[in-house]
Amino acid sequence: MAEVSSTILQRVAQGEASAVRECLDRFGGLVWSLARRLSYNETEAEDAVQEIFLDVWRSSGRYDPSIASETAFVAMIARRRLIDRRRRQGRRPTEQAIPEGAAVTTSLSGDRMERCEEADLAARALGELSEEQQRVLKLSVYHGLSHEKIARATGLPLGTVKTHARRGLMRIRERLAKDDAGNGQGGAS
Amino acid sequence: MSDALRLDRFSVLADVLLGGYEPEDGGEAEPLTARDLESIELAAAAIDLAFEDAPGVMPEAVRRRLEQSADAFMQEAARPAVVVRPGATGVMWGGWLAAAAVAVAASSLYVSRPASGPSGGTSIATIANAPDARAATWSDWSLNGDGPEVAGVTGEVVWSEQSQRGVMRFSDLPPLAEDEVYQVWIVDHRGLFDPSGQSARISGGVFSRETAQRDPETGLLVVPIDPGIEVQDAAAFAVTIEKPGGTWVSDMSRRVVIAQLKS
Repeated sequence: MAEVSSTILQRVAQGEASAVRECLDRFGGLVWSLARRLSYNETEAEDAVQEIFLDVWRSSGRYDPSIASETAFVAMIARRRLIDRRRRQGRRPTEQAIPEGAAVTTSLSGDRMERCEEADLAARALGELSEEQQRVLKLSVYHGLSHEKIARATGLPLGTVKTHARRGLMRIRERLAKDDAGNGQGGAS
Repeated sequence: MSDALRLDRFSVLADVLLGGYEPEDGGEAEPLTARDLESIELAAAAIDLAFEDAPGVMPEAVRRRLEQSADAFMQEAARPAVVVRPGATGVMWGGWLAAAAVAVAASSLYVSRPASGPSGGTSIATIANAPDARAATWSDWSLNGDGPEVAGVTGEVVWSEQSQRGVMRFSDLPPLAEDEVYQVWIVDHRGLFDPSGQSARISGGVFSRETAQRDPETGLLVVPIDPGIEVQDAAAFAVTIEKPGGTWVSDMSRRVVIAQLKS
């Protein structure tokens, strides 16, 4: 199973037409979820999905399974494009209401879709953080809200929000890097 | 670089990625390396995936549109690519054909278009003769007192905003090592360094001396610029040396030439 999923992008890079479609099958749901969550409306999400998959196919030659799993790589490409789109449009989701339940629960339960190794590592690291830190990270990274909006919604000082977001992200980065160093390779799923 | 300074720069990158960077916070938003930025992006993706309940189901209409894009992408990839080197891998655009050498006659030189756009190429002459075409000459790219890695490269760049295409001409280009390529960057009005973290530099593709076409009339090396995404208000073009396949974000440490368009 891992062997098939780890070679989809490599096969795209090699010019295998069927792999391009397999990419849609394998990552379509994930990319759609990301696009819906980090776009302003469904129309923009639909446009974003097109751009994301073009980026994924074009970047396939750069995919290195020793650095990341395919799922994490695709999620990274998708988030990069979605953030770029928002910046190019010059808008920030400050108008968005806090997503229902997002400020209350962080839901890092294990009973969910099969996760890649990076997500597992991140979940464990997040579980070691305070509820407050987890909440800020979820609102910032997962929901893409601005630090100002998070501060207003949570009542936390802006500086605290920034610190939680920055340190949380750095902590996960260090955990992933440590895991890579320990394994001698990346987290290919 | 000291560990403290390196940590500080990583923190600034984290702020930039999350959109919380403010110039008055201090630090420098200049990226360390593409790999450093990617490591932070990967961490953010991992957090995102950790919170993800279950992937959604893509609407059928979106899927159909993607399948059309996939078909167009595969057709585009099957076209003769301009920037191809035998045995090269990871070329940013047209990378499927990187393992095969494709000879393209100078008289039929095409600029490969992104799969999302209409099919068909745009000749170099068309770009140069476009009503809105603007040209600028290359000059050695020094930065903060440090000279370029490769000096003395001359030539010009021509850009058409309407067609979103450009062409570079060089008197010559020094050959690079097997694990190096030239990469051209399109800089918009925000300039080379944008502390807000917005994308002020867009890659226009990778190339090498061997894959550039020699104009039989002028003897100049000719390389097309195909950004693949929309460029707004191109203001300058810059060339760096990068690893094969190019990079999303250059630290600009290996500079070659820069050219500023006249407004």
